[in-house]
Amino acid sequence: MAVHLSYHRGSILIRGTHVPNSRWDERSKCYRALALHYPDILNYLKGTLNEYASDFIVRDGMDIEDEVLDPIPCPRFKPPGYKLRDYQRKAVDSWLKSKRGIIVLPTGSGKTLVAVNIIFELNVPSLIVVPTLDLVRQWRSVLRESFDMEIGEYSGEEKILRPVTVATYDTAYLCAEELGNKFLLLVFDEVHHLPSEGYRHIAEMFCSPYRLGLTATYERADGLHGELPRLVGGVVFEEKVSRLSGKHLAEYSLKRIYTELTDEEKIEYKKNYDYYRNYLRTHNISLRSARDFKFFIMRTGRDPEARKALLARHRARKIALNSSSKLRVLSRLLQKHSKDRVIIFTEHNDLVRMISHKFLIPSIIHTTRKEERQDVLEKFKHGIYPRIVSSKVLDEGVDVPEANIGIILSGTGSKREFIQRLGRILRKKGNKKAVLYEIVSRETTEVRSSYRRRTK
Amino acid sequence: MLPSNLLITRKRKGRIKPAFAEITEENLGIAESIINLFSRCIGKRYSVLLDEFQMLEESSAIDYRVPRSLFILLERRIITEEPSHDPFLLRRTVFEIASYKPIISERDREMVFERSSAELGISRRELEENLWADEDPIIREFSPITPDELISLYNLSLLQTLLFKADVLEISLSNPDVLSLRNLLRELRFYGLMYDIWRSGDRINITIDGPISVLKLTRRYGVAMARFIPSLLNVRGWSLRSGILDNKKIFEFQLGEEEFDRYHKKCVEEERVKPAFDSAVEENFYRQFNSLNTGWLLKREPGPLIKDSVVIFPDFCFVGYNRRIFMEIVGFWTREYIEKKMKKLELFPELIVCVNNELRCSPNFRLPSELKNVIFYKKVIPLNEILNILKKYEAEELERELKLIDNNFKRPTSPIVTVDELCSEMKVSKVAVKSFLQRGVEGYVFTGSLLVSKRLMDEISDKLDKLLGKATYAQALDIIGEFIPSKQEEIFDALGFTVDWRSLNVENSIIRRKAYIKNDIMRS
Repeated sequence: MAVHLSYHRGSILIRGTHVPNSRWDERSKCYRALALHYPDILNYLKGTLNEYASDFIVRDGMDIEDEVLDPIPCPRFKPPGYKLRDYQRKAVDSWLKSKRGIIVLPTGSGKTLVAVNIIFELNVPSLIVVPTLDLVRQWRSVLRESFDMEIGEYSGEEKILRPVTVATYDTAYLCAEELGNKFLLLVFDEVHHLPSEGYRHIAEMFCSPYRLGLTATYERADGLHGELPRLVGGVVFEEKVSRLSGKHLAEYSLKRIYTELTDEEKIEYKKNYDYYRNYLRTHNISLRSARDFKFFIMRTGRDPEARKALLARHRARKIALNSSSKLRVLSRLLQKHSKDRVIIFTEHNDLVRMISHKFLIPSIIHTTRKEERQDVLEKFKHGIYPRIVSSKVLDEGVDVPEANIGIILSGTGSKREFIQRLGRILRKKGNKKAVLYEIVSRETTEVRSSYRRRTK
Repeated sequence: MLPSNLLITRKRKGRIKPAFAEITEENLGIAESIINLFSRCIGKRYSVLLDEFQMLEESSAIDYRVPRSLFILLERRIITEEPSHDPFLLRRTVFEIASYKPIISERDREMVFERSSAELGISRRELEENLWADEDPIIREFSPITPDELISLYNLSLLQTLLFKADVLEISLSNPDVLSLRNLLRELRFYGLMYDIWRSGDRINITIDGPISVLKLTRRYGVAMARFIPSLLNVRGWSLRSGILDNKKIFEFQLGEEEFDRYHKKCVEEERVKPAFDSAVEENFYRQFNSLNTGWLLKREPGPLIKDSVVIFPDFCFVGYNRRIFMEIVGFWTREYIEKKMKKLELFPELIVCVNNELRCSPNFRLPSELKNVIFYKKVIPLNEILNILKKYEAEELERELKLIDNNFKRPTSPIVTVDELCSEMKVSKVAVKSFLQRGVEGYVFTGSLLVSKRLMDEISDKLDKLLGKATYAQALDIIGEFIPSKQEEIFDALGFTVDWRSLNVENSIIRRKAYIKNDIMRS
């Protein structure tokens, strides 16, 4: 009897027998399994490990007709022309033992090169999944240089399929049905994004047997990293920041600058903040956890008074954030570091715009067009623009070379965000010592947020 | 469709429903004020629109998510002015000039602007107007909408936004027309959804989800389901049921056409035109067949056949003899199409399949052996062969009815029974009753459309015998009429009488007996 395996929109159809992890599908009159389980199914049927070569194999008198994979024809890759550092070599070797799993390395320690090496060693059609458009661009250029061939892109802007293709998480999620059987190796950059409810479909709907995850922050606050061994494999290699700092990464110092609100701002701030506090007090609401706050937000849908209180809180925070004294500090810092490469962070797009308009500094936010985004980053890299300002979009892994001064104007207090923002300016270049400034308003709720950020 | 944080729902006992906006004075008023705001802002900057809206929103007493949603729906109807100079290029110049030192004073800024406009060769005003024009463009056009249309659109968007979180969608359609159902299924395939479909009475039920839904609970297909909804609304008599995943719980959501009509004004429906024939072959056949008197009526686009979730839409249906016989015409088409079609047709062995002769010659063409009624045609569909197939069904039907009559027929209690009465009593055709009665019923005589007791026949016969050679035909019929209310001529003939016509006048006719026939009647 023959068993027939085929790929259908993110799943494997199994005709002729039942296999583990599969379920009968009345619509198609056959068994169906998540594409994720393809290697296991094959191993189960063959009783052997890790061989994907032949189409017809006899086991217990059973023929396997396997039409699952439809890989993109792949040339022999050129060896990358650089030497790996010790820990990078170790990371590659550990991963190659099982050809699955996650490598944890701090930001700026050359995760990309580790992945390029693995892609070269396996020499199979590979899909690299990354969180942002900037990272798509960055990976493509590294891969293009390493292998001297055209690299594909699957993003909101392009759909080019090549043996080595870089995709955003969003597009990989949307196109999983059509891409799921075309690559043998999946590389997840910033793999801690993968376990979220939507993105995990990428891992589940691809049948790729080889999987590599890269991250600097394996753990997630919500505990979902527990899903990663199933989706990608366990941690196969880990190197801590402290061991690398000073050796391969630049050292940095953190300076916190407190600012006072102006008298007018203080009055306005107090008025709004009191309004908000008053509402909470008169309605007996205490906000101790994120969950409490969520309930309060829900309440604002029903209760116009709660809504007004929330708006007052927004206004108060906005005053603290946009305080003119903060901008004065910023302008002092800009003067002080007029010969340095300065990158300014704030999570509020309005504030990015305001700084860009006021100080005539190029900006990047999520709506900035690809063309301009590239132009700005390129010119920052070559020192034509010595200063840029940006919101969250630069959070992860974007190569911002040559930056030695960072200024944070606000933050949300999340642990991961903080490390990675630091990581951005931790690029070793000569003997340069990096400085990270954090500008916080005194006597406002923001102090607490900054404290939370550091201690968590 | 709206951002999910603007979706308002009501949950109760495991059920969920979007908080649809009623078409009330209050809601229409809010819709109107926002529409007016957009109209007022034509020619102004986007930020002006935004500021004014925020004021309007803060002063409004209803749930802020409603006005904000309306804003988003209207925002999609504006067209903004293209800047006269590319802001990106302007900024590039300005930033490069500004990069030589930190710009911290008004004087620095002034100088950068002066130098930039000189280098770009445009005026200061042009520079400043266009520098950020892509962030904050001028609104050029706004295509207006009436307040009730906006509320309808809002309610539709709420429905769609809720379905983003759906894991499964079950729809039920009462008597859908073929065209809509066809479109619906086509649309489902287009969105990469999968379905189970079955019939229960007049209703067609479709359960919709995606390939991996059998393996895990997922909202992956919710967006596709939401996009599919407008096509569903075009079909009359719909209702839907869905599972909504919210906060790791599943809520049930139900909605029917009648309820939703309160919130959603349908766009004026276009007149549905019966589609033209697929080919001249089909058209000729249709006209020809219906001009014949066959006892069958030929119908076009008769509606779906469903079996094991496979749906086909046959081209024709022959209606008659208590049957609907479907017919599919398979023209010359691509190989994949034909292969797929044949795979489906396997499930419907009774279907009459007319196959283009040229297909026989194409490689790999294989007719499913299950099919019972296959006809090949060249240029026209051969009527004779069709009629031969239909005759089989006619005979089958007769057979079935005769059996039925055999089982149910009881000797009548009244002396006269009409064929029509027997037909409606046993729900069978005239042909069947007649052929049954021709076999004879004890104590009765069958005259063609009446079953009359032998005793009554004898009585009439005796009366007429006495008048042989004397009475006229009209008088004879009158006498029969005393016993039997209709079809006197039939009785007259059946009793074995005949008429000698002396002229064309009925008064001049004399009855006589066709003597040898009487025995025949008696025998039966």
